[in-house]
Amino acid sequence: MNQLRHLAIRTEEPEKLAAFYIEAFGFREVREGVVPAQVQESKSFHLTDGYFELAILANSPNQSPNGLYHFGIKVDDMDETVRRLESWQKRVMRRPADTSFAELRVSDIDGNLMDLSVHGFLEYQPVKSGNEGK
Amino acid sequence: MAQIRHLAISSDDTEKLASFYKEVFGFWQSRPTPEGRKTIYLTDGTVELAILENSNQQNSNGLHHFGLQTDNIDATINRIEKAQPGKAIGKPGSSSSKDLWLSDPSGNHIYLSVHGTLEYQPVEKYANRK
Repeated sequence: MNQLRHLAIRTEEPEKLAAFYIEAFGFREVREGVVPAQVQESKSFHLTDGYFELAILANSPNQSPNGLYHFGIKVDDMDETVRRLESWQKRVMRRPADTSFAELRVSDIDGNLMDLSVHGFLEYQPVKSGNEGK
Repeated sequence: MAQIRHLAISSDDTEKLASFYKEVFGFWQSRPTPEGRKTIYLTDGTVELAILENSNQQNSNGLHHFGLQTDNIDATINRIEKAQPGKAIGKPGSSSSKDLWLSDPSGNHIYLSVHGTLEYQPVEKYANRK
């Protein structure tokens, strides 16, 4: 079954926003694995409620609007999903096989951005403390 | 601990967009569309995806808000107030409305509720509907 498992927010103050979600809602930082924005000037944060990932992406250079950016769906069968997508969209581009990001970035028919991944959004960045709260 | 269980997208063609998510990803309708409205509520069985009616173009189309479900709304409100000192947030109006709207420090809109968006209308009832 395909599952909604990821939401990404862009902000110019990722530390402040991540602290809010940790303190107000008890989210935990995903501490292991590759954090794509580590090379950037400002660090992005990958948080979770134990099931769903909330990515707080650094937008320090203000190259894009702050706010809700994209969401992610963990898919069971990428080839079948792409086949279905192609009946709605003209072109679907895959990312390189070794990407640490989701394997596919597409938009729905309204232009909303989605990341699609078979490996998921938490599984390749294990939650160190399991499911217990902060 | 609160859990993300709801995403909402505004669209001026909710039927077409809902068809896309049903056909490509196998999502199904989680609850009926309110009478006289065009908003369509889909789910993957755990998280709800609401396709919000925006036919009057009163909002931008696109990601609109997300929803958090909490076991204890009073404790969550206390934590929010500590995390954002001095910022007023809405509170539940009565014992029957255990939900509220708030914004995070960056202005992203959050719907916070105790009952969640699926549990009070069991998914199983609509699981086989397209």
